[in-house]
Amino acid sequence: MDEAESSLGRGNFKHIGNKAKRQAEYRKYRAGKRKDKLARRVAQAKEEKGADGQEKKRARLAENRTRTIENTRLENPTIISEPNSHPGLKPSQAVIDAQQQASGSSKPKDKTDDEDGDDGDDAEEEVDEAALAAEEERAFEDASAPPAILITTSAPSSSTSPHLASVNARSHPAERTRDFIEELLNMFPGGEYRPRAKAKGASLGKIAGWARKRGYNAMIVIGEDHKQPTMWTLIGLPEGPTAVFRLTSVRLGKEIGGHARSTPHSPELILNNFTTALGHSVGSLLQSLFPSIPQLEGRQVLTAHNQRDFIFFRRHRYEFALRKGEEKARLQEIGPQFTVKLRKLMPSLPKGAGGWDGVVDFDGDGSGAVMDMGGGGEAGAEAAEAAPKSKRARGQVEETTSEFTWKPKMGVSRRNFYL
Amino acid sequence: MSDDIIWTVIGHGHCSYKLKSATHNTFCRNAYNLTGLCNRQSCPLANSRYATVREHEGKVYLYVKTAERAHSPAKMWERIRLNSNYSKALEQIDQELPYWSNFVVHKAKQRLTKITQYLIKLRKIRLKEEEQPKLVGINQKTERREATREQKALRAAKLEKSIEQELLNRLKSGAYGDAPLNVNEDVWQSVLEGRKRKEANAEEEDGLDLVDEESDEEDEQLLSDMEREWEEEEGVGERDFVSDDDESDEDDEDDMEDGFYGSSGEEGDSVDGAEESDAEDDDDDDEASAKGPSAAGSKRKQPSSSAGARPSKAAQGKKGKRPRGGKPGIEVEYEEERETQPLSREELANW
Repeated sequence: MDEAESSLGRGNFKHIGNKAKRQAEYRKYRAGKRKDKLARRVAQAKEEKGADGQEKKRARLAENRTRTIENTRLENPTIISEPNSHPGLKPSQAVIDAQQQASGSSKPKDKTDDEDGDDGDDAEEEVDEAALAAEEERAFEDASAPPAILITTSAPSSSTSPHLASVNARSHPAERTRDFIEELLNMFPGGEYRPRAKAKGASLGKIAGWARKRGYNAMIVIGEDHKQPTMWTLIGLPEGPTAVFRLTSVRLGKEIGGHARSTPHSPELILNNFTTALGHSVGSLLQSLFPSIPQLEGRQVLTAHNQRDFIFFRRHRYEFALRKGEEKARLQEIGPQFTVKLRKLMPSLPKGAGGWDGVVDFDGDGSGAVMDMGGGGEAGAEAAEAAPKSKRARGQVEETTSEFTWKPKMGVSRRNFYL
Repeated sequence: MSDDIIWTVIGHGHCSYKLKSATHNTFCRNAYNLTGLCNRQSCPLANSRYATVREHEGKVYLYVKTAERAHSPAKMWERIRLNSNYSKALEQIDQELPYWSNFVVHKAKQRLTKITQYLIKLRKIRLKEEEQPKLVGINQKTERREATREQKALRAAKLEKSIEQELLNRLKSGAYGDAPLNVNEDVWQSVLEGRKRKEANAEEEDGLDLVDEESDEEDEQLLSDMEREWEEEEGVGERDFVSDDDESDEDDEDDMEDGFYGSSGEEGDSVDGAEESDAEDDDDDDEASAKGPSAAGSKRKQPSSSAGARPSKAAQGKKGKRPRGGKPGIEVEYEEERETQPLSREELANW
């Protein structure tokens, strides 16, 4: 390549005063360069078609790796696992050692349950369904039952702007949000929608406390702005984390061309590229929204794919087929498609939830069964008898520190990602 | 005495704190005024003995002014912190202002009541505020930037591809169990076949490892062939007693049977047969055997030319993938079997 260029000259034609001539010379130079490049590439292609072609091609590609943002991501000490959909940062040696020590042998998972066909988390092996099906926390629950989810909207605007048609217009969610909620109810068969009250409305914390008492497993709050759904809050219920996301690019199922029909089968989950500790928290929160044992006959797959801190949600119906003797997976999109970016993660419930005595009251009457949460059966019963105050004591401050808060200046460096 | 003089001047004339209003009584803007109106009784300037209740940062104070301190304006007002408890604060006012005019005491208590009430309200509002959604302004720059980055991230994500890849991985790795509900029969069959082929590959590789260690190449081939046959062929090691007569014929028959039926169950051998056929090109062999086993195989290809083209082909015929979308029929050659066993007297004669 160097030889060719030197024969063409250095591409500097400033010394030629005649514009026509100068232009012609430059054009010749450029054409020459193009020709040389083409010749080189044709020769390369010919070589790679011949003997050992595959290996040569592989070697060439390995040497000239394209720089991507994922490639050049800044080192993050909280990375626990490798991303599974593209080559990226690996966990540091210290993390690997710690993991191996913690698990003893070379067992991959130390955290969440790994039910049959459930997570694609970090390309790890699936473990026997029977072996891991029983977990202490869920001993009482049927693992294939869809978790009960309470869906609501954010507090209605308290604006008294005169251009709004009526009081009702102010306090009810907009059409787009309503449609989105309807699709969410399809997505979560255990979901229930309760509209948010305007006057004397309860704060989010109080609602979370109420939902916890009533035995819900999770809560979803959809925030609105300019008649569009823009915020998505996920609250894992008994003392779970609160995650606030910015919601964008919402496309309803009916807007997607050629969309499949949604069925209430519990989907398989694919969680891609949740690599850091924070990513794992978010991933496990998303997992808790769905039953741990999917109904494979439904052939539905829900994907939460994290790319550069944007989590893309897709729902597909899949089918395996043979094309030219090779197995292929074919997808048809169902239901809503949206993108979500984490703004804030709090390890506790939102402020205002108060204390809880562990009594779960499924019907709303006084009859409450003590929920055996994490080996606290006896303690729970005692607590119920002692009837502790659910309101916080005077002088006691509720802890609502946030584990992660996103600020715009975090986005200045385009190589730093948190999930 | 001087109070009256002060009042005649400011009350009827000019007072900087006075606010005249057409519809209401005159107001007094002085911070220490008890009632807020401009009266002879209420004016803090015109009364040398005066008291007010004021609050600062949530703390309520009683300010008292006496004639004795009228000469030092800096220390004129005595500030007394009142109790946070309302009733105790009332008692405190009574204690601090004994024998004072009813007007001042009464108004002071009224003021205390009002202040306490609005402080309570403030606290309630602040509590509620913490639970109310916080309104955040929309930053156009941030929104635009995030939207662009989202689009680029979406393109980098290659969603459909990665989902399909993940599903295929799960299918092939057996995450769906032995009789999965979400797969077609033929697809599942092809997956199972793929697995068997992989196992066969793995076995082959083991066989070839042994080959590499040996030096004599011709013996190498024969030995390796025999070992492979040993691993895969059924009936290896079985003994029975045969007569002397027609030994060679019986051997031949056995060979044929093995060639036909014995190895049909094992795909490795049947595919062998397909590749064995001379009709296949060398190129096909190269491509199909691009991977492991034939890496060694191709090594052996060169030196084995003296041993004959056929034995060498037979040797490396193993595996690799059958070319995809390949020929439906499987051809089995008897010659293969003969080559892998030592040639009998008859065959040597006919060679």
